[in-house]
Formats: sequence, structure tokens, C-alpha cells
Amino acid sequence: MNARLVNSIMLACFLVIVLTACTARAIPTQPPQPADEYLLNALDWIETHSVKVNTVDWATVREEALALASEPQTTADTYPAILFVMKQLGDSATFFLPPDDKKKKPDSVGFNAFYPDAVIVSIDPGGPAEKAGLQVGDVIVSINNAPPLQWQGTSFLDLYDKDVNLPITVRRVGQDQPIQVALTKVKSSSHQSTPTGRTIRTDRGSVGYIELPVESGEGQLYPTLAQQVIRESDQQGICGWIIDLRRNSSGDIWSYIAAIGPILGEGDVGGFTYLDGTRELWTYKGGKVFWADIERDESLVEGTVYELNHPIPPVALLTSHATMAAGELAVVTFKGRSNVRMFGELTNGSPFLVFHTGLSDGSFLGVSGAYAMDRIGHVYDGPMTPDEVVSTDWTLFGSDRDPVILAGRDWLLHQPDCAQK
Amino acid sequence: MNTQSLPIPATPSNSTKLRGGWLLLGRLVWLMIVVIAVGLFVKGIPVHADDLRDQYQPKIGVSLISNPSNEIVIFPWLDYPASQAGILEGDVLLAVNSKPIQPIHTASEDLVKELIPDGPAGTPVTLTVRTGNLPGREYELLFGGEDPVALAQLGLSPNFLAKYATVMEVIFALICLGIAGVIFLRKSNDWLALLASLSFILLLLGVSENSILVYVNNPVWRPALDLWFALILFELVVFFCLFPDGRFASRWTRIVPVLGVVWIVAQWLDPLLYPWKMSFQKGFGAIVVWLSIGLIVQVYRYRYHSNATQRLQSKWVVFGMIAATLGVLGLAYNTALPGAKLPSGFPTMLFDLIGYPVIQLFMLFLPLTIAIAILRYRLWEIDIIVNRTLVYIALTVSVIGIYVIVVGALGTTIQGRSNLLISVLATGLVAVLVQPLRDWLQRGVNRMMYGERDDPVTVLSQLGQRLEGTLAPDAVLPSLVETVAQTLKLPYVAIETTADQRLESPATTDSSPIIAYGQPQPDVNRLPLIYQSETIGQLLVAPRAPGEALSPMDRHLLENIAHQAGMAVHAVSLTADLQRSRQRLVTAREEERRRLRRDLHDGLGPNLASQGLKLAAVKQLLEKDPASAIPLLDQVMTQNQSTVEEVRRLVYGLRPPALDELGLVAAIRDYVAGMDGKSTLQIEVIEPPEGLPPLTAAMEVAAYRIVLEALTNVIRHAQAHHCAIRFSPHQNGSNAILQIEIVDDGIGLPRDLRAGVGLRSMRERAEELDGRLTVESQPRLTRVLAILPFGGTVLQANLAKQMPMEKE
Repeated sequence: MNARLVNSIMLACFLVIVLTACTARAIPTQPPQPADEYLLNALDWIETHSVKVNTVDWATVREEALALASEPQTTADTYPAILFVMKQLGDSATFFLPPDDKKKKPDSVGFNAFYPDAVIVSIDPGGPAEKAGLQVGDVIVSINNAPPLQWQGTSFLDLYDKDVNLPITVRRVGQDQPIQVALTKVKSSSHQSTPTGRTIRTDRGSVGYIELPVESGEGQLYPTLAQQVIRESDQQGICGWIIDLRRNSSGDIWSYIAAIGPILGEGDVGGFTYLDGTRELWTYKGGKVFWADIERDESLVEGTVYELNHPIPPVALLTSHATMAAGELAVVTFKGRSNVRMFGELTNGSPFLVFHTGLSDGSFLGVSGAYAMDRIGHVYDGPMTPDEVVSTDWTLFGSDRDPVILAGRDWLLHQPDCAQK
Repeated sequence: MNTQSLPIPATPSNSTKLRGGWLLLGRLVWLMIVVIAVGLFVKGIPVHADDLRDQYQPKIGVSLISNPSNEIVIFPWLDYPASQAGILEGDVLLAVNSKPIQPIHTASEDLVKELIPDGPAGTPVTLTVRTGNLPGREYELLFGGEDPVALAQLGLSPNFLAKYATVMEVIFALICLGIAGVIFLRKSNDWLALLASLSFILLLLGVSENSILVYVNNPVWRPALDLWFALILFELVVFFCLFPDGRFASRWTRIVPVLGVVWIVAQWLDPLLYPWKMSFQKGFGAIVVWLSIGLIVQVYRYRYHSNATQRLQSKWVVFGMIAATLGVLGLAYNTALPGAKLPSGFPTMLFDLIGYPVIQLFMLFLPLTIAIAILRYRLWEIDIIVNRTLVYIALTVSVIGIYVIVVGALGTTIQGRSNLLISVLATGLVAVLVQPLRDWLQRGVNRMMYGERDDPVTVLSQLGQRLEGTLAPDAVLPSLVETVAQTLKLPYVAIETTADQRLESPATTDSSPIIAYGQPQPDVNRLPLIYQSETIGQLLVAPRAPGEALSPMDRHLLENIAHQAGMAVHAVSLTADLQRSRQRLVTAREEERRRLRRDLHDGLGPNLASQGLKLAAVKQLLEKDPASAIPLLDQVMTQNQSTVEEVRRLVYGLRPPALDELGLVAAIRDYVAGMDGKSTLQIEVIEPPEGLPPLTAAMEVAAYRIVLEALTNVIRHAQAHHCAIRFSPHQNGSNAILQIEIVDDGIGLPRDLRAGVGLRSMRERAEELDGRLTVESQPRLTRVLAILPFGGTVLQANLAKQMPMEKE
């Protein structure tokens, strides 16, 4: 290419850029919301969406909040007021994330623990906790040489945000002395917990076991993978199912319904009931999940939806103190269904719909918006009691000697579906 | 089909030819896969267009859902006007532009279109909404969104962008298909050609942004499409293993397809193993590793198995494949991966408007290079394309870099001024800089790829400096090859001088001497080294990469260098010749002296001593018994006579006395006459009628010895009947020469006799006087021709000085 051509091309580009720059128009964009309006909006929203408003003197709380942020200049000035309200409402599902926090991905410690027991219920393969030598069932005595902060939820280690290295002391079953380990957090975790399962064979018949851990929200494959597990077991001749929700402490109810839909069976499987008495039903139909007749994308199953050889099989539901939020909603879907029995421990007691909204500055706000309701209209606003109380020994979790699994299995084998064989 | 007109590959192409049923099957499978790939691409075109239209439509950013009470519930999107104004999730829409909404119950996804009018970016719409059961509030929203605003600033409409993208995609697909069609028409009986064309169809249409959109929007198809994408990855690497001769380069490369099949089966059993379902790092890494395997096999093949043609083919395809893969990964990165998107607003808009078509254009390298590799690989050199690609990539990066830096720097220094001024200034600066920058980059890339080829003056002047700076003759040629190799980036340069047969020196072996720089390469180009129209050696040059030919530019420059090198080689060989002849002269003189000393000391000395003793005895006898002294005296006389004989013989050996007594011709006639009767040979001596001009003593001796040596050869070996000896002086310009011919009609010289001792000594005698001697031989005619110049004073003086005995 000769110099002349290059020069003309450059000249042309130059002209084009100049001309477009000249024709470029100024487009007015949305002005930010005034800070006082911002706070009023948030308070209005909490007032009309939280089911817990009835439990406090709302008029007073609202006044105190407004007093906390009189004449705010920026939206950030109103955060203390909003946090004050959240604290007054005081339920586990309530949260407020300022814009910066929302975008920051928490460091990963590679384990989930449940409070107040402070027991480790799961460990990411290859994650920091596994490298540090922690085991499922370890009870945390101290973190950073202080008792662990009581935080309802599993990702409590976000609180130790600044520390990359955490000395952790745990007590382990069968060992007298506490064990001290050093854990190094990693920037991000690529681990996705997925549904797993197996077929438990006995002389009297086989039952399927499927564990539904917390859905991490990133992988859309959760329902697809769960159905693959179900398909594998079902094709080996299963007379009943054990569904293990003991580690399920949050996540997305629509994924869970789609995951175990084939076992659950079609129809209205539960619903939400609001403060004003409004009810919205959850429906499982044709492999899809509907919330008040609107299809949920989270329920997507790749390929074809599996159908069981014998529909509506007997189900043993396993729960623990750590079964919580969406995990408890999953328990509710089985309430009122025939052929179900619940084994394990009392659930955590937050079977709520978490209502959330973005605020105009990009903050995120969430409250408990509705109670769960089962298919026959019974409302749940607290812990659910199992039919048979069996304590979970976390060190045996998921194994053949797990007492909760054994209890569920023995019950299933005595059900007509299994006894016939 | 006319396959005859095509260049025939250097490898036996039979191995990749399809016949009979296989041919039909191959074509059918090819067509089927192409139809699937094109189908996916085409199905994605409207999806892509709609997506773009939606993306760039100015909007307030809400989803609307009608709830069981038939109210319209709002779900605002983060970072869009509705959310920025303060509308919250779950708020109920009451009125738009003060017009109340009628309660409707519908699951329609187009509620937004039904209820909220479209408007250009920046225009207001008023929404009345209610939070919970609280009284309604009014919000004035400006149509916007970062991407739509960026597009609107340029004055372009979303519809234009959608149509523009569609047109670009159709053109892109048509070009791909066109090239595939040409390959199919001309080479569909060659399965490797089918595989090659399939590769780019699959890579460009099969995994395009469009087919990814189809994948995203059709969950039911996903398991099938997962398998499809996995098979494409498999096909690409298998193609790399087989191209260009259709065979696996070595046993270990056969593992690759086996590995691929295992991987596909594993993925099929566990969908989480599909790279695009893993986390970004793992999945991206897996794809890169897998494609690298193909590349490694291709490089391995290139280095160890391919011939020159195949190497050229490999180069084309690897170049295209890298270009296209980078393009596909770039597009996939922006389309398919969550969290990997460009920042919204201007960057995203620019990408859709310019980046996407440019990347597509870039990817078209693949079909072009594959087509060239298969159909026309002999006609074009790829180096120039690689060269230009490097230059323009570097240029683009530099221009963008300069632009960004200038805009950034100006932006901080002249704050508050319009962005327009800054961009105009930056663009102006870039426009001024681009031409010198391009030249500079071009020179840099050329130097990187070809050394100093572009600048012959530099090469030659460097060569000159090196030759000037080198003092020792031994170091001249090594220094020369080193300079050439380094300045032109050649891996191996050597000079091979023609073995000089004339010298016959024992130091010269039969194999040609080589002065080399670098490791010897299997294939080298030979350029003759010429001095005064005589080839005196060869310049051996290995191309930059094995199997590559030298480009015309390289060749031209190397020929120039060969001229210079020719002179240098000649000078070196002259120096060597001089050295050798000096050595020989010294050796000859020492030999001569030793012989004389031996003769005098061993023969003459004792002889005279014994005569002296005998004479002393005679003296005593003469007093007592004179009669008995007589026999003793007789003995002494005889001995004395033989001593005189011996002295004569000695002197004769130094210079035949006949020469001084009779002159050259007469001396030879005398010698010939002395042989009469000893053989049947008839010898004739011819001299010019006016006789020979006066000759120097050295010339006389040389001529005499040469003739006698030649005659001896004739008598001993030739079995000749006639022999003629002709002396003829010639005036050759200013040089006068004496030509001596000895011709016989004998059996000629034996063929394998290259240089007997006699011949060599004759030649040496001629050369000592700066003359020369040639021998022509055939049955019935053997001709020894000696030419001795009359001039040659320097050499003569030297000879005279070094051989004083000859003066006697």
C-alpha cells in the first residue's frame, strides 16, 4: 500500500470523526433522585412489603428513621436510617446492600457453616477450607481468636472481610483437644454445588437418594442436573425417594421445584400469603414452574423433562436446623402431598418470600414479603417440626450410616410401593 | 471436472482421493453438515437483529406483569431511567402521561409495548405509580439507557443498526459459502479438501454469535447443540492433525482424535464437562489447550515431516486459523460469557457498529487461506501477508494507544472544554503521525523478518567494513559469511571454493574446502562466485525457514553479495597460491643443496682422497722400485678419469653443458641423435627458419628439461612411431612467448593418470617462469604444449637469487 493511499484513508477517517463529532447531539439523561425522596420511597416500600411491619410500632420506627436522616444531601446519608429500620424489623431475610457492597464479590472461604450451632455443613472440593484441613461436622470454637460472630446465614465470613488469613479453631468429634488451622481465603470460588444422588439398595427394595444443596445462583443447570440424577436412579427401579434438604439454607425455590418436579408431581404445590391476605400460588406443570401463573426462567430444564416410571412415589424429606429460607419453601411444597414423611430436626423457621428491590442509587433492599402456604392452605411462619425427630450427625452426613437417611429408608421400605416387591 | 489445470500437490494425493460410494457419501455428509451450520446461522440472523433493535431502542427500563388483581406491576431494571428516578420493584402502574391504565389480565410479554409509547432518547414520559396501597406518585422519565443514548448521540436509529448488522452477516455468510462452494466444485473428490472447507464453515457459521444466540434462546436444543459445538472443536483439531497430506504425522498424533472422542463421550455423559458450562477460566483454558494441541501437531508436522509445498500450505492454514479463532473467541467472549461484557454505553455501541463487522472481516482470512492452501498454494507467498498483518495490527494498536493517551492527557489539562475539541486534536495528531509510524513499523517488521534485506547499501557497506577490518587472510571468508548471515537473518551461510586442480599441492585434498557460519541445513541455495567470468566457488545459503524458497528480493541482494564475495575469495586463493609456491621454492633449493653436498662429500671427496694416498705411495715406490709404480699410476689415472667424469655428471645435472656449447635446439638435436638406434621412434625437431631469439638461461633450462621429460615419456610409454618437437616464438600483444610443442602418435595418456611425477615436474618448471603447460591426449595424438613468456623478470630475478648454482 503506498503512502498516498494511506494518507487519503487517514484523511477520510479524520473527516468522518470530525463530522460525526459535529453532528453528535447532547442527549439529556435521567437526573438522580433527590436524597429525601429516596428515603421516603424506601420507607414506603418497606412499609407496604414487609410482613413484619405488624410486629413493630411502625409509625414510631418511621419517625425515628426520618429523624436519623434529616435533610440528607446524598443518598448515602440515608443509609443509617434504612439500616435502623431493618434492625427494628429484625428478621433473617431482611438485608440492605449499598451500591459498592453489591458489586463486590466476597472472598471465598470454601465452607458453609450453620449458626448458632457453628457446625460446618459443607466444604468445597479443592477450596481453602479443605486445604486448611477442616472437615464436615467440625464445630467452630473461634475465628481470629474470638468467638465466631453470630450471623444468621451461611456466608458469615464476609464479616471478616479484610483478613485474608484466618486462624480458626474447631472441635472435632472423637478428639479431646481443639484443632487449630490457618485458612487462606481465595479471591473467587469457581465451585458450584450441584444436586447429587445415588441408589440405596437393600434386600427389600431400592430407594433413590437425592441431595439438594444450596443453588449458587450462577449455574442455570441446577434443575437439569437434578433431573439427570433422578433419571439415573429411576431407571434402576426405585420404589421411593429420599430428598435431603438438610444443607439447603437459601437459594432459589423455583430451581428447587423444577429440580424435584418429577417426584413432586404436577399441580399447585404451594403459595405465598401476603399481609393483606392476597395469595399467590406456585404451580408445577409440564416441567415448568409458575408463580401466580407467570413462568419462572429459573426453572429451565435443558433437553426434555424427565417423567418417573411410577408417578407420585413415597418421599422421605430430610431436614435439619440448617434447612432454611428457600430450603424451607421446598419442604412446604411437599406439605399436604400424600405419601410424604419428614425426618430430622426442626427447621430454621424462615419460610418467607424475600421481596427485594433496587433503589435509585443502585443499592439493594430486601424484606420478608410473604409467608409460605402449602397446597391445602396451611400457612407457615416459623420452624417446621419433622414427623420423626432424628438428630443429624454431620460427620456421617450422606453416608450409609447416616441415621437420618437410615430412618427415611426404613420408612420407605415399609410403604406399600416398596412392600409389594 | 477439470482437475488437470490445478497445480498437482507434491505429495501423492491419491491418499486423500475419494472414489465410488465413498465419494457420494463424503459429498452428502459435507452437504448435510453445511446445511446444519448455515441453518443455525440463518436462524440466528433475525434473533440477532431483534436483539440489537431491542438493545438500542431508547427505553425507561421496566418489565411489566399483570398481577392476580389485574393490576400492572412494575419491575424496574437497574441503571435505567425508571430505577434511577426511584420507581421500585412491585410498584403498581396507574397512568402513563396522565392517561389512566385500564386493569387488564394478560400474560403477554409485550405489556411494555402496549402501555408505554416509544420515544426518541432524551424525550420525557410521565408515569404515575403507586407503592403498595399508598397514594400514587408521578415520575418524569427520560427515554434512555446507556447503549441507546450512545447510539442516539451519533444520530443513528436502532433499526438502522439492526439492518446494517443483518446485511453484514448475510455478506459474511455468502462469502464463506462462496469459497466453500468453489472448493467443493473443484475438489469434492478429495476428502481432505472437504474437511478443510468444512472446518471454516463450522468455525465461522457453526459457532458464530448467531448460533450462540440460538443456543441461548432454545433450551430444548441445548443438549444437541452442546454436542454440535463439541464436535466442531473435535473436527478442528482432527483437521489440524491431518492437514495437509491426510495422514497422521506420527504415531503419537493418533492419540489426539482418540482423546477427542473420549472427551466428547465424557461430555455427553456429564454435561458439566462442556467447557462453556464450566467456570470461565476453566472453560476458556480447556478450549485453548485443546486448540493448542492442534496447533502443536501442525507445527511439529511443519518442522519434521513436511516438504516445501506442504510447509507453505501449513503456513497459510495456520495463519488463517489463528486469525479466525481469535475472532471467534473475541465474539464469544462478548456474547456468551456472563460478566465478560464490554462496559455498556459507548464501548458496546462502537463494538456493535464497527468491532463486530471488523472481526468478521478478519475471520474471513480463514476461508481465504484454506482455499489458497488447497487450490493455489504455489502461486502466492504468504510472507508478505503475514508481514502486512503484523504491520497493520501494530499500527492499529499504536494509533488507538496514541489516541487514548492524547485524549486522556488533553482531557486532564483542558478540563471543561468540549470533548469534541479534544477528539479533533487527538485525531489530527494521529493523522499526522500515522504515515511515519507506518513506515517505521514496516521497517521494524521487515528487519525482524528479513534482516537488512530492504537496505542493500547497509548490507554491502557492512560487508565492506568487515572485509577492510579483517587483516589475516584466514579470517576474511569466515568474517564474510558471518556478516551475510547476521545482516540477512539467515540460519546458514557458507562459501565453498572450487578445489584448485592446477596446484597439485599435497596440501590440497580432493574435497572442496567449506567456510561456514551456522548449522548446516538440509536444503541450501547455491549461488556461483564469479571472478572475471570464471566460477571460483559457490555461496551456500539456507533459507530462513526450512523448505522455504528465497524470495526474488533476497536472491537479487545475494547475487550482489556473491560478486563482492567472488573478489574476496579470489584474493584469498591468490594469497594461498603465493604462499604455496614460495614454500615450494625454498624446499626445492634445500633439496638441491642436500643432493650436491651428498655427491661432493660421498663421491668426489673420498675419491680424491684415495687418489692422494695412492700418489703418495707412487712417490715412495719411485725411489725404491720405480717399475712397480707404473700399475699404481695407471690406477690413479683411471680413478682420476672417473672423477672427471663424475664432476662432469654433477655439472651436467645442474645445467646441461650442451646448452652452453650448442644452444637449446642443437642440444636437443644432439640428445636426439644420441638416441639413434636405441629405439624405432623417428624424432623431428622443428625450429623457425630465422632461428630462436636469444633465451635466458632459465628459459633454456626449463625448455630443455621439459622437452627431455616429454621425450622420455614418449619413449617409455607412448609406443609411438613419430614424434615432433616444435619451437615457435610468438608476439602476443606486448608479451612475447615461446611455444614448445611435443606431439606424438602414440596410444595417448591412460585415462586415470591425472598427473604423474613427470608431468607435474614439467608443469612446475613452466609455472616457475610464469608460463603454463597443458597436455591433450587422445589415441594417435598426444600433445604437450608448454608456453614460456620472455618477460617474467620478477620471477626470473627471484629464481636467479634463490638458485645461484644455476649460474655456473
